Amino acid sequence: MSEQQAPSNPLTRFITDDENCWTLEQYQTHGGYDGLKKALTMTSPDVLETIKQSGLRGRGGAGFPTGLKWSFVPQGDDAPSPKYMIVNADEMEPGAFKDRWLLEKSPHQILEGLIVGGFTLQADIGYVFIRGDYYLAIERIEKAIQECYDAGLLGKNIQGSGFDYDIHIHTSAGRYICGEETALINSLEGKRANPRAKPPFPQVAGLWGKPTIVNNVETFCNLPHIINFGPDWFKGLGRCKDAGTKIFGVSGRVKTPGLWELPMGTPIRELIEVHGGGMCDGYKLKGYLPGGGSTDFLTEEHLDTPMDYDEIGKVRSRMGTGTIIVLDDKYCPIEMVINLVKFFAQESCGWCTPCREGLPWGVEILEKIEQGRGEMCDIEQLEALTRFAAPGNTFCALAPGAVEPLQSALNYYRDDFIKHIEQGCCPYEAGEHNHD
Amino acid sequence: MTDKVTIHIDGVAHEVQAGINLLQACLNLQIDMPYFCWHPAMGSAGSCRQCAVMHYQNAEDTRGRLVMSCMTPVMDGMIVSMANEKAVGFRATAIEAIMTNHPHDCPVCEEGGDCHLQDMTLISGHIKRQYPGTKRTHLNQQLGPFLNHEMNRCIGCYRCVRFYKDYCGGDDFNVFSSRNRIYFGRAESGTLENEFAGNLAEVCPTGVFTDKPFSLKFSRKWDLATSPTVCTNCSVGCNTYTAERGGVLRKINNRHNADVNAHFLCDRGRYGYEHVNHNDRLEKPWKRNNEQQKVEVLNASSAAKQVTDWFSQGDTVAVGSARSALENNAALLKLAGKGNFYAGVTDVELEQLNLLTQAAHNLSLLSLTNIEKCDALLMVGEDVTHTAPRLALAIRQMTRNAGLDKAAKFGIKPWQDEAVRNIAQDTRSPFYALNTHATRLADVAKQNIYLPPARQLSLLLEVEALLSFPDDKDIASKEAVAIAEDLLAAKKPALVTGTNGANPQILAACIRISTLLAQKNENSGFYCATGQANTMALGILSDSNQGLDALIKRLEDKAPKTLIVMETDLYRYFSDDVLDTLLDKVTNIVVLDQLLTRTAQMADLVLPTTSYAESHGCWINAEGRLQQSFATMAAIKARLPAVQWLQSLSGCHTNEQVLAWCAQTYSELAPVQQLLETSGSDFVIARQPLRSTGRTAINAGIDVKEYPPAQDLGSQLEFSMEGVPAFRQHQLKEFTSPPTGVWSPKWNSSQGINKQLESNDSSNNNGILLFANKTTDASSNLETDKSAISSDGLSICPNHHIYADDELATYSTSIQQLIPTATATMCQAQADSLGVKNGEPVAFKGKGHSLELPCAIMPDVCEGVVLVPMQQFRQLGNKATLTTAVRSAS
Ligand SMILES: Cc1cc2nc3c(=O)[nH]c(=O)nc-3n(C[C@H](O)[C@H](O)[C@H](O)COP(=O)(O)O)c2cc1C
Ligand code: SF4
Ligand code: SF4
Ligand code: SF4
Ligand code: FES
Repeated sequence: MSEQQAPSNPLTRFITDDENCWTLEQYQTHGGYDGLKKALTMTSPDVLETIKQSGLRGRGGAGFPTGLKWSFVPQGDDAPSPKYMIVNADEMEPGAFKDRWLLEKSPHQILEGLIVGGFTLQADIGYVFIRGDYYLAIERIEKAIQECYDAGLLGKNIQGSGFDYDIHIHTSAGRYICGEETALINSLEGKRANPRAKPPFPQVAGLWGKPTIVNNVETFCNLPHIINFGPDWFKGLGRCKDAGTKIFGVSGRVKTPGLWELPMGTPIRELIEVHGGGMCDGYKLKGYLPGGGSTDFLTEEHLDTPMDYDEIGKVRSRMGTGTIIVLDDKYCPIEMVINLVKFFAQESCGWCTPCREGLPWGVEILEKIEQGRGEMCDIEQLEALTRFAAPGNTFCALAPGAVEPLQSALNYYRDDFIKHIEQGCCPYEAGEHNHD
Repeated sequence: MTDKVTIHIDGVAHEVQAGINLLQACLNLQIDMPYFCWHPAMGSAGSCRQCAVMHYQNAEDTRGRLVMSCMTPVMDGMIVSMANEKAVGFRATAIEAIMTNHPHDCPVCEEGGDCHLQDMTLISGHIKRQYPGTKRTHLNQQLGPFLNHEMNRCIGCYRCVRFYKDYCGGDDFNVFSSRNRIYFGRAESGTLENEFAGNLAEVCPTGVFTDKPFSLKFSRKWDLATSPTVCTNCSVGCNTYTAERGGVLRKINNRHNADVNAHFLCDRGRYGYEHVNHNDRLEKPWKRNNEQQKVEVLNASSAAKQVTDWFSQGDTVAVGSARSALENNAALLKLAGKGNFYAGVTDVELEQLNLLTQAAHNLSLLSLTNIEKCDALLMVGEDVTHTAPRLALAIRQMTRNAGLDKAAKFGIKPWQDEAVRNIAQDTRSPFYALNTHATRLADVAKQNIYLPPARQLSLLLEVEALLSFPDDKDIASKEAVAIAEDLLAAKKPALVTGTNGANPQILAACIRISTLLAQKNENSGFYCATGQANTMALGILSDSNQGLDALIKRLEDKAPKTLIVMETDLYRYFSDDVLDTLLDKVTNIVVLDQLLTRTAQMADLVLPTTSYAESHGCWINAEGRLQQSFATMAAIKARLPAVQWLQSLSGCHTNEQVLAWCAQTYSELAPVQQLLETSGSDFVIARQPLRSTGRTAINAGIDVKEYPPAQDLGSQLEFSMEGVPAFRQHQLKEFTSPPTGVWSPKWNSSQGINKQLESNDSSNNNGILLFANKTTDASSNLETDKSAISSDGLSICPNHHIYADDELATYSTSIQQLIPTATATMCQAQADSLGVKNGEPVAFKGKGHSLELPCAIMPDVCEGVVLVPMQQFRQLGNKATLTTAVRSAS
C-alpha cells in the first residue's frame, strides 16, 4: 500500500479527461482499493465508527447521515442473514447526471465503496441497481466486477480476510420510482415498483425480508477515501458544516454547463457564475432549482447561499442531488413547471391518490393556464393540490418532490400566473418555447 | 380479554381495543370515518389516503400532523382530531381527486344504491366537480359467468388485487400499468380461475366488478327484500343474505359471521341459488293416474289427505334429505319411525357420519376462524377447495401465521398488510396436503403428498404411531416424521379431512390422530367436511345402517307399500338400471321436493316443497354448528315446507314443535332448547329497507290492487318494510334473528357491515355448537382393519369439483358453464400401464352399473389411482372396478 497524499478531489481523482475509464490495474496503481485493504485490517465496528465520525450524508437526495443509517442494521451472530448492500444507480431525477459520470468514468471506485460497505456491515451480497439506459456504465461496471473476481477482490475470503462477498448487477426497467429505495427493493424482487410501507425499514427488513442498505452511487464513492484518509480529513473538506466534497452540476442557459467536484458548502453564485460561466449572452437569471427537478425554486436573492444541506433548507429548498437547473428570463416558468409535473405525473407509481390523481389534475390546470384558458380560482386550486401532496400526505416522497417546483413557482412567479390568466395567453415569446 | 387503551378523538375519550388501527377503532365506535383501501379481513394498504386525521404529539401540540388512520396503531393517551379543518379539507380533496377519473354514471351503474364510493362521497362532503379535464377510459374484459368488468369506474384502491392475489392466492389477476392508468384485471379476457372471485363484487367499493347473474334480474338495493340465510351448497354453512323482489331470488351476498365465513363466500355459494327461480320448480301437488295415463292436479288438503290415507295402510318407508332443514327431516323421521327412516346419503357416508358424531364430543371441532389461527395443519383425503370451499380459504390464511409471527417480532401488527408480506416473504406455517392428486392449496403447502388411499392410510398409521412414540423415527417414512414433528411442535395443530373421499378407515385414522393430539395439546383441533348442507343433521338423526344402500337392499328384499322420498334424488346415487325396476315394485311413491327431479318423475304423488329461500329452518354444519336460516320470500300457495305437508302425520304443526321433539329425543340436539326459549317478542322486523319504492307498482301490469303483504308465521320478520329496520336491529336485545340486511343512513353499501363488527356477536346469531360439551367416553370403534389396507391394485377415487358436485348449485346457468367434462383422470404412467391414451374411453363397473369415460392425463395424480367425477363415483359406489381400458378403433 503506497502512502498517498490526501486529495482535495477524492471523487474525481481517478477520472481522466479522455473517454476511457481505468482498468483495475490502472486504478490500483493510483491507489485504488487501498481504502478497502485498509478496511480489511480493521474490525467492522471500527470501520462503521469511522464512517459515522466522518459526517458523511447520503448523496441521493435526502442527505441522511450514512453512518447513522447503517447503525440500524442488526449485527452479531443472531442477526438475520443474508444481508444486502445496494448501490442506487437508477439516476432519473430531471437535471441530474452526476451518477452517470461516476459510473462511466470510475466504476472501480463504486465497487470499492460497495465492498467496503459490505465489509462494514458484514453483508453477504451487493447489488448495483442501475438505470437500464446507461449502456456504457453497465458495460463498464460489468467489466469491473469481473476484474475484481479475477483479482480476488470479490468472492470467497477476500484478500485472505475471511470475508465473503458477491456483487451482482441489475439493470432497471426504467421508471423514476425505481430509484426510491423501497420501490427499488420491490423491483429487485421482481414485484411492481411500488414503495413499501415503513416500518419496517430496509435496514432491518428489506430485500427478501432481510437487512438491506441502499445508498447512492456518490455516497459509496466517498467510503474508500474516508477509510484511507480518515474522518477528520473528510470533515475538513467542507466549506460549511457539511463534510466532504460533492459533485455539483449546472444545466440551463449558462455558458459552460457541466459537473464539478467541489467542497460542500460552495455558494450557489460560485457554481453558476464561475463554474457555469454565468448566463448566456442576452439572458438573465430568473431562478433555479438548486438540487434537481424535485426541489423548490430559488432566485437571485439566494445566490449567496452555500450548497450545504441545512443552509439550503433554511431558504426553503433542498440540496437534492446538487445539480442546479437554471431558469432564464425568456423561458416561461409555467412551461417549465408543466414539463416537470408532467414528468412526475407520468412516473407516478399509481399507488396513492394525491400523486396518482392529484398530479395529472395539476397538469390539467397548468396547461389550461398556459394555453390562456385559466381562471383566477385555478391558482387556489393549484395551491390546494400542492398542499394535498405535501410530505406525510402521500405514500412516498415522489409526489411531495413533484410539487416543490410548482409550489415555489406559485410563490416566486405568481405574477406570471396572473399575467397568463389576465392576458388569456402565454406572455413569453412563442419562439422561446422549447416544446419537446 | 383484550387489552384496552384510551384515545381522545376531538376531545372525547374513548376506550378501544389495543393493537388495532385508528380507522378500525373509529368504525367500531360508529364514527363515520371514510376509507377505501382498508378492508377488515385484508388490513391496511395506505394507498387511498381517504382516512386522514390530525394527530397531535401531546396536549401542548397545537399544529398536529396528518396521519392515515388505517396506518396508525391506537396508543394509550393518543390525541387525534377528525374535525380539524385541515383533516376535513384533506379528505375532501382526496375524494375529489379520486372522483376526477370516475364516470358520472350512478344512474346506470349496478353498484348504485349499494356503493361504498357513493357512501364515502357523501360522508367526505364532495359535491362540486372542479376538475377541468377529460377522464381516462379503459377497455373492459370478459371475465366469465360470474362478474361484470367496467374498468372506467375504478378508483384504484387496490382491494381487488390484494384480495385475489394476496388473500386467495389467485395468479390470473393483477394490476397492470402505472400512474393514473393502472388497470385491474387479467392479462387478457377469460374466465377468472379462482373459486372466490365472486367476492370481488363485494370487495370492490365501486361498480367495476358487479354480480353478473344479478344483472339479468337487476333491482336496486332499496327494492330488495332481504333475509338472513345460511348457504345450503355445502357443509360449511356460510352465512348469507338472500335478496328477492317480486318472488324472484335476485342475489346472494355475504353475511358476516365471525366464526364461519366472516367476510367471504365461495362462488358456488354466491351463485348456486338459481334452482329457486328454476323452471323445474314444482308448483302444484300432482297425482299420477295410471289408468287414464294422466297427471291430476290436487289441492293442498286432498294431497295431504292422500298421504295420510296411504300412510294409514302401513308399511311405509321414508327417505330423509341432506339438503333439507333439520325440522323437515325430524318430522319425517318422527312419523316413519327410526327403523323405517333412511338417510338420503350413501351407507359409507352415514358410517363416516356416525364415526364423526360419536367422536365429536371428544374432539375439538374447529370453526373456520380457529382454523385460520392454527400453526400446523394436515389436510387428508380430499381437496376441500372443491368440497367445502370456504374452508380452503381459511387454510390458506392459516399458512400465513408463521409470517405474521415473524412480522410481530419487528413490531408489525397483523393488519399492516404490505409490511407483513414483505417481511414474511415465503415464510409459512407447515401445511401438509395428503391426497390422491394435487389440490388447489398445493402452492402454500410445505409438502404435497400424493398417494392412493391405502397408502394414505399407512402413512396416517405411521403418524399415529409417532404421536404416541415420537422417538420411533427410524421405522417411519420421512413424510410421517415431518408431519408428526410439525404437529407436535405446533401451538395449535389441526387436522382437516372430509367424508367425501368415501373412506371410513381414513376418517377413523384421522379421528384417532386428532384424539391423540387433543390429549397432548388442548389447543389442537379437527374439521371434517361433510357431504352437503345438512348431512350432519342426518348423521345425528339416523343410525349407521340406514343409508341409501340399505334402502336399496330393503327394496330388493321386499318393496314397501309406500315410499316417501323427501328432497333426495335417488337417481344421483343409483343408475336407472338399478332404480327403475325397484321403484316399479313400490305401490305408492310420494316425493316431496322443490324440483322435478328424476325421482319426482317416478312419483305417484308429488308434493311441492319450499326452497331454503321460502322457508325457515335449522341447518347443522360440519362442525356441529346449528344455524337458523330465515325465509326471504313468501312461498306461493301450493308450496309448503315438508313439516307442513306432514303435520297431521307427524303431530308437529310448527317448526318449534319439531324442534322441541328433537331437543327431547336426541341428546345432541338438547341445545336447540335455547332457540325455543329465546323466541317470541312483540317487535317485528322489516325485510325491506326504508324506503322501498315501486312496492305497489311491481305487479301493476297484472293487477293494480295493493294486497297486504304476506304473513310470516314462523318468525318475527315481516315481508314488508314495516318493523324495525336492519340497521337498528342489533341494538335491540329482544331479537333472536340476525339483522336482515346492511342498509343504514350513510352506510348503504354492504361495506356498512364493517362498522358493526364489534356489536354483531350475539351468541345465537353465530349459531349453536352442538358438540361444545366435552365428554370423556371414547367408546366408538375406531380401529382400522389392517388387513384391508394392503390393496396394491388400482384405486378408483372421486374427483371432486366445486361446480359439478352440488345438486342444487348445478341448476344455476352461471355454474353450469364451469362444470368440466367428465373424464377418467390419471397420470401418464398409469395410462401407460393401462394402455390408454388421452381421450380414449375407460370403462367402469359398480353397483350394477357400467359406464365409460374418456381418459384425461394430468400430472400430479399418483400412480395406482384413476379419478372419476364425484357424480359418477357415487353411482359406481366404493367397490367400483375398472372393467376394460378399451383402445378406440384406430
Ligand atoms: C421518487 C424518488 C426517486 C429517487 N431516485 C433516486 C435515484 O435515482 N438515485 C438515488 O440514489 N436515490 C434516489 N432516491 C432516494 C432514495 O430513496 C434513497 O433515499 C437513496 O438512495 C438513499 O441513498 P443516500 O442515503 O446515499 O442518499 C429517490 C427517492 C425518491 C422518492
Ligand atoms: S407518491 Fe404515491 S403514487 Fe406517487 S410514487 Fe409515491 S407511492 Fe406511488
Ligand atoms: S377495480 Fe375496484 S377494487 Fe379494484 S382497484 Fe378499482 S375500485 Fe378498487
Ligand atoms: S363454502 Fe360452502 S357454505 Fe360457504 S358459500 Fe361456499 S358452498 Fe356455501
Ligand atoms: S383507508 Fe387509510 S389510506 Fe386507504
